[in-house]
Amino acid sequence: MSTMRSGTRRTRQKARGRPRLELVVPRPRRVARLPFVVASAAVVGILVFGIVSLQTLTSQSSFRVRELTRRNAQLQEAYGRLQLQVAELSAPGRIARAAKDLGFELPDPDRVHTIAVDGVQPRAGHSPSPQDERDPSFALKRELGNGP
Amino acid sequence: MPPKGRRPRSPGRPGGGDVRSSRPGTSRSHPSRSPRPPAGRLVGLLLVLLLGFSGIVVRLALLQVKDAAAFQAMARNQRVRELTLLASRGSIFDRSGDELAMSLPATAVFADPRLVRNPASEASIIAATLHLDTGTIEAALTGPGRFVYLARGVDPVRADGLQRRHLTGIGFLDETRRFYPAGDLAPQVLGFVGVDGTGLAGLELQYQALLAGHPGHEVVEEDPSGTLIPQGVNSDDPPVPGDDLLLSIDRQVQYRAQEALAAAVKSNGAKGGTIIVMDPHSGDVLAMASSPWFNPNDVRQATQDSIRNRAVTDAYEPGSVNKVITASAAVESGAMRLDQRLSVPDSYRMYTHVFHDAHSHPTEQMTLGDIIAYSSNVGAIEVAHLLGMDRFASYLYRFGLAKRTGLGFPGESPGILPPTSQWSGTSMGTIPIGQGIAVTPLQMACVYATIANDGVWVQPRLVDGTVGPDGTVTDAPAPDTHRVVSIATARAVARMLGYAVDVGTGTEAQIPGFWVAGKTGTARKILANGTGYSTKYIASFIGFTPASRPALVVAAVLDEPATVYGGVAAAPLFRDVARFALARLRVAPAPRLPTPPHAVSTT
Repeated sequence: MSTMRSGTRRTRQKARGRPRLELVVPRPRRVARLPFVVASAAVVGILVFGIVSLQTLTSQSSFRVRELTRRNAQLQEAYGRLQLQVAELSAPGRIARAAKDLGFELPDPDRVHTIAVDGVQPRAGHSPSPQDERDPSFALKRELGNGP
Repeated sequence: MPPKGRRPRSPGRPGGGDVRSSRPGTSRSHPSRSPRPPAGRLVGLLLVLLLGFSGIVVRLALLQVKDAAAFQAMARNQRVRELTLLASRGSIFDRSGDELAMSLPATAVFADPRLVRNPASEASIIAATLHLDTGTIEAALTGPGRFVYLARGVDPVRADGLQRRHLTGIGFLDETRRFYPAGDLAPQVLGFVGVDGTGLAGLELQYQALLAGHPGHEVVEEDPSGTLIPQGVNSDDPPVPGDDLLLSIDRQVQYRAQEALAAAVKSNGAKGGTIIVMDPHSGDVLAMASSPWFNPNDVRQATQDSIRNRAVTDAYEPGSVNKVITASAAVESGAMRLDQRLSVPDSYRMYTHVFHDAHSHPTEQMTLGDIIAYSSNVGAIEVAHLLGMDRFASYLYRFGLAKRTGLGFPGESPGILPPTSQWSGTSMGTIPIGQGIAVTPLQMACVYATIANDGVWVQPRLVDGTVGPDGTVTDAPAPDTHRVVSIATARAVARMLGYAVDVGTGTEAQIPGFWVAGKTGTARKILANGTGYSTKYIASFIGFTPASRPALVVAAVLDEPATVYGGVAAAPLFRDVARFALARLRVAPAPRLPTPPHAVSTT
């Protein structure tokens, strides 16, 4: 007991040395965290979704470009083959052989005459010019750019 | 804290008692005998750990710092592929825009014999797919080495079929293949390319840099299965296709010329021949061929003789067709008037050599027109003597002899014309009649084109322009020209040449409805060792039509025909080709030229 008394006295002596009023810092008001978490999650989710979607779209576009490039190459190749076919079929030698097989023959050259009409004198070498806009080969090449 | 004055109980002995702990460090009652801390083992463990971590750090540093670049490159090589994109070789078109040569994508099939597990089976599959010989393929698959081509220029569709079989040790490479859709049309002019697509002859070689274009490069990042990684490395340097060539050749005229040449060679039993069709005003070569020829789609079957474009690479002694230069020089220089008559015997002695006309005749009075029309050797020699050596030689050079035409064709010959300082005593007898010099058929065609073009020499050309990858047509530069003789002289000589076809040695060249001007040539061939002349001949006829308004020049040359005379062997070839070309080019007849002064009776 004596020990308890002596302790009480010491407490009282300490209390006397302190001010009766103390400045108490107000406790921060508790803010509701749920909306913040939800909003953050939503933003992050939207961003992640956006990035993933963008990546997917980019990848899809890339594959599509690749596929179109491949298809373009195939079509150019097919175009080239058709050009070759036309050139082979229109070759004078092939036509001459085909005509011969069908029983055609060249006319007697002495019976072929070229006459000037209205004074217009055809000039040598005035066969259709490849620079002519109507020529299909070069017009198409212009369209195709670096085509076959 | 335990209460003061109490002895702590041993934790290991319930119930306590003053029992000494047998284990060090478990009793606080005897500090002097407490167990020693395991510092040694801890330090050892620490050292081991330190050593281990140090090793890791060092290795990490080596990987991340010292060898980083190498490992990065290794990793990059596993993912990133650098592809060479082949440039499409330019096409070659004729003057109408029809393809004469074009390239298409193709595939090369190769093998690594060490990786082939079942050569017999794979050879059977490959041979069946690519239509090749099984034995050849199997031999290639079992041969030494680690790389062997099995087939080049394979159709990509067929190669895809083979690729789907997933044969071990068989690989595929992209390449291009050259096609000549008109087959053996103008093969010596076009030339051909090697298996790697490089021009090896003809225009393919001459315009290699222009036709080839520039290859491109593509860098792509792939996953281990070969699928493209979309977001990976991906750069593209596209190839630049080669330019197209627009030739002056007309494939219809070319075909007809080759047909006629083949027929003439066959009917005359000739060893070969050459034909050239030219526009005398523009210098455009409309057709050019030499027999025999080859099919550029199958070069392996070609012989050396058939590959050569003899029209520009082979020089020959022209014979009497050269007399047109002698006559032109005489008229232009005023050495002889058109109506001047010379006394022409049938033989002429110069030093030790006696020159003869082709046929015996009494001494006759001949004009220059007669000399050309009847192709008198003696008369031409007399005219040359009136000219004098230096003046005559200067006209030979002005007509373009002894130098290349400027065509730029690979292997073009300048011909042979020795300088006057090296002329022998008989040179003024041989050269005026076209012996003792050598010209290419193209050079001689240009001489006649000069007369046809009112005395202006025009550089011949085979390429009229180019077409860029964007389809833009660029004309070839204007050909070089220079005046050789005056218009009056050219027309006077044209009258003589017309007279030669009318009544002289060239009557076989006549074309109904058109007036032809031309000259025959019958030249002896020199011996292979160059020590003299053989008994073999080159027959030729070179001329133009219509004579008064020339639209085309045709040179027809036959090598060693059974009938040696140019007027008999070569003139009909000229006629056949010229007649077709006139119709093809829609040339209308022109008025007849007046006959030149002549003294020899035509009856």
